[in-house]
Amino acid sequence: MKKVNKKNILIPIEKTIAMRTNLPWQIYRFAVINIRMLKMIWKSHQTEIKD
Amino acid sequence: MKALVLGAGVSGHTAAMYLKRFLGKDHSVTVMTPNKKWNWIPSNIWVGVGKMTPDQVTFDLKTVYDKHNIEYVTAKATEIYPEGLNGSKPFVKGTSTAPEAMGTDVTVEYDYLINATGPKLNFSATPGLGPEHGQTVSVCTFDHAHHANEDLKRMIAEMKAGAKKTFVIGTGHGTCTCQGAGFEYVFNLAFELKEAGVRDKAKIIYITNESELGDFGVGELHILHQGFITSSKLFAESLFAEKNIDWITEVHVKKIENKTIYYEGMDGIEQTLPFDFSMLIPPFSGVGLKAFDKSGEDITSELFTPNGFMKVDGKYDPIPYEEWCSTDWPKTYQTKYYNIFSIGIAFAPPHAISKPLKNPNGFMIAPAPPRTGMPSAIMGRVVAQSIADMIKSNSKTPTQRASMAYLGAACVASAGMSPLSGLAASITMYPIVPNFKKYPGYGRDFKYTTGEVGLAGHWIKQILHYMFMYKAKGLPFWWIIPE
Ligand SMILES: Cc1cc2nc3c(=O)[nH]c(=O)nc-3n(C[C@H](O)[C@H](O)[C@H](O)COP(=O)(O)OP(=O)(O)OC[C@H]3O[C@@H](n4cnc5c(N)ncnc54)[C@H](O)[C@@H]3O)c2cc1C
Repeated sequence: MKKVNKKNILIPIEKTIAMRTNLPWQIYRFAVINIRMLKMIWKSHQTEIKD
Repeated sequence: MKALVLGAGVSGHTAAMYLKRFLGKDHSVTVMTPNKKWNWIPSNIWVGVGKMTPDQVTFDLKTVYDKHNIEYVTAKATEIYPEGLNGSKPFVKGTSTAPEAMGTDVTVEYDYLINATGPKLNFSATPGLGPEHGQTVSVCTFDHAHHANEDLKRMIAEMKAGAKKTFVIGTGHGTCTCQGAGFEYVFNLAFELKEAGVRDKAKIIYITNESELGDFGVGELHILHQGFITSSKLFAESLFAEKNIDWITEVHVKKIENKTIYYEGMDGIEQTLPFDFSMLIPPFSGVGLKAFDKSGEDITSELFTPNGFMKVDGKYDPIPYEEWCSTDWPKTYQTKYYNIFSIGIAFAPPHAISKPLKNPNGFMIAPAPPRTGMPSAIMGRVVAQSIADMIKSNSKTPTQRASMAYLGAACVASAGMSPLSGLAASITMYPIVPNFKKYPGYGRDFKYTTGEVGLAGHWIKQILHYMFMYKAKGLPFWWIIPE
């Protein structure tokens, strides 16, 4: 098992944590994530397997 | 023609529903499965922390199959006869799990067969693991999750009375897959303890066979973040540190005795970890189906790998980890018999994605590749389409392909369930199996490999729950919902 130096870890600032549950921002992110997922699903369905 | 599907989980149920839709009234579809209820397994995490009941994540299969004219045999398949026996048609033998015929033999003939029997939850690989004969709980079935929640509620009551408790969550063996479920459960647990006002009385430790947090058995992910190529390890560690959850990576759990976990890492030194409550995912194996040829000779090793997964059209030659290629992965899921396919967790992956390690005492610390819900369901639809086309055109060649090296996955990992303060990590990756030739260095397309944490992810996870329950129930226009 590995020893981790917790000082080297990214820690979010208060604003980052607050934005995770900020309603207007999350409504916007909801739309963005859905579009991303649809694009990825579309890519998975479209890609032709060549080999 | 008669198509038989073994298993009514995520992949088998999807395959059966599409088969019936594609084949219509002219051909029959039969499902042989021991379970009476369909279970949306991802939501078992919420059952395990008391946020949902088993009834909210399940429904009766019989009602759906009656409505869609799918024959339903409540039995556990045990033997496959791909060539028939002494001149008979190919058939599958099983043991009934119906209350009125419990334990009796069942035989079902077929023209086309799909093996979608999923995993055997192999708790016995680690002494002391699991809710039935061991000391840890599980969320792999809705019953297990319900039992986990009862234990958790007891812990919370004791903590409210002043007790301090240690919670250990993660993987119960060096060869486990499905780390995502451990990841989700540990954050949901922390969230529940905080809501119950007892977080300060709990020490939470995550223990995993992954080399690094955020590996998930897919050799970690890299995403573009504010101009930097950033590893999933950084984000995962950040979340664990923020929620004050300790972690131990790259370990094999050897045994669990007297509420203590005995484990070893790559240094081969045995360590112990006492706990009050522990949820550890078991390793998976195949369900133990056997196969026989037309004269009754055992041909199991021709169709299955030693750990019981079914060999399909992948490349199974034993080659060093460094030499594998994404094109080794199966595309049509057809076995050496043109009319037998295997999908979901039941098919044998050709090799590990995360680097397998062995410690000085010979213990494998090797996360197995995940076969999550989205690819499992896509395989179900694609194989159903192939079989329907083969039947209609009287051909032996599958028409559809869906390789995990060309499929992406959307994974929404819950980190707390609440409409206004819930959290989830929304991850997309493309492809699931990295392709280092096409995407040098990191193996995946940055355009489609993304991740972020927020409340929006929780809403998506909750919506997906209702969408997939709706689709699986075969309600009007169910097929419009993508897998
Ligand atoms: C706790 C947990 C959380 C998860 N969360 C997610 C998530 O958020 N997102 C995601 O994409 N994936 C998730 N997964 C993974 C997902 O559940 C699996 O990928 C999916 O269930 C695999 O589908 P399957 O059809 O191969 O197996 P299963 O769904 O397990 O179905 C197997 C079926 O075969 C039946 N069967 C077993 N033995 C026999 C036999 N001998 N004969 C006939 N039938 C048999 C079983 O009763 C069952 O009906 C999670 C898994 C777990 C355990």
